[in-house]
Amino acid sequence: MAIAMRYAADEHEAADILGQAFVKMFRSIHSFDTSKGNFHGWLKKIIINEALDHLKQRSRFASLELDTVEEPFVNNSIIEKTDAAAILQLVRQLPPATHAVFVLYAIDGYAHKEIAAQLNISEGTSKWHLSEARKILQQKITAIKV
Amino acid sequence: MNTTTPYEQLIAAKLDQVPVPDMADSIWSGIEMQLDAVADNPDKKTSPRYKGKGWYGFLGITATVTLLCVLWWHYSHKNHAPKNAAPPLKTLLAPKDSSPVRDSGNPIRNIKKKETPAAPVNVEVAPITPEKDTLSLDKIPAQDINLDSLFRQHLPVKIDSSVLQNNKVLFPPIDSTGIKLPGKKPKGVKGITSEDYRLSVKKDSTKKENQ
Repeated sequence: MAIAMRYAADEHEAADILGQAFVKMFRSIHSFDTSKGNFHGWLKKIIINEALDHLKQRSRFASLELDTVEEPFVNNSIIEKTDAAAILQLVRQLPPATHAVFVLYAIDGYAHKEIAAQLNISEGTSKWHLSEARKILQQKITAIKV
Repeated sequence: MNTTTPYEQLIAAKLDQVPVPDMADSIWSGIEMQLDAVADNPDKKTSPRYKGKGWYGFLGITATVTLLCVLWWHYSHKNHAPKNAAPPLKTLLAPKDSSPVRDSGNPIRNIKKKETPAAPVNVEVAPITPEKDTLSLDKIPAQDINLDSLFRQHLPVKIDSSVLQNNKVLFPPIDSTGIKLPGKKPKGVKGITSEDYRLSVKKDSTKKENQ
C-alpha cells in the first residue's frame, strides 16, 4: 500500500491501484518464476506498473529534453523535522509526470534509462522531469522553513 | 546511473513511514469482486472468435451463396423441364380456334375415321396449356376417352410422365383429320399433266428450208 501511495494522487486512487495490481498478480501467479527474483520484488513491480498506467491515463508526458540534472541545495534538517505525511503531500503537488519520474528515480531507485522505457519517453525528458522536481521541492521545503 | 542526493534519501525514508490508511477490507472486497466477475464469465475469452464482423460476414456470404444456388437450380429446372417433356409439336397441335370440348356426358360417336395404313407411327403428345385447352380431362374417367381406333389399337403412343395426372392420361382433344400420316407421295410435277407429255408428228422444218 505504501508503494501505491507514493504514486497515487490520493488514498482512493492508491486503493484502486493496489486492488487491480493484486488481481493481475492472482491472474498471472502461474507465470511467476522464483529463479528470476523474489515474490516481493515481483509484486512491487506489478504495483508500480499499475500505478504508472493510472498516471498515464490522467496525464501526458511532454517531450522536454535536458542533458544534465541540476542538484539544488536543500537543508536536510528541514526534511528530518517535517512530518512524513507532509512530505508526501509535497511530492503529490508535483505535476503528474514529474511526480512519477521523481518517485521512480529518487525513491524506488530506477535509472533514467529504465524510466524512459517505462514511460515511453527519452532519457533527456526523464532528466528534465527530475530537475523540475528538485527545483519545485526545494522551493516548497524552503517555504516550510519560512 | 542513479545518483540520489542526501535529501532525496531522507525523503524516501520519510515516505516509507507514511501511515497506511485502513482500507484493507474494501480493497480485498474489490479484488474478490473482480476475480468473481472473471470466474463467472470464463467463456468470454474462449469464444470470441465466433462473434464479430468476420463471423457475420461469413454467415452473410454463406446465405447469399445458398440463395443463389437455390435460385439457379429453380430456374434451370424450370427451363429444362418443358424441354424434356415437350417433344416437337409438329403433328399434334391443338387448334387455337377450336372451341373447348364440353363435358356433355355422352361419348363421342361421330368421329370420322380416316383410312390410313396401319403402320406404327410415333405420335408424341403436345403438352396441354390452360389457354389452348380448357377441358379438364382429369374429371373424365380415363376409360371414357373415345379416341380414334387407330390410336387405340395400333399406334404406340409415347406418353411422357409429365402428362400424367392422378394416374390418368391427359390427352388434348384430337382431331384425327389433322393427323398427317406418311402415305404415298404424288408422282410427277405439279401442274404438268399427261397431255403435256404426248408426242405428235410435225413437219420437218429442214425440208422447208431446202425447198
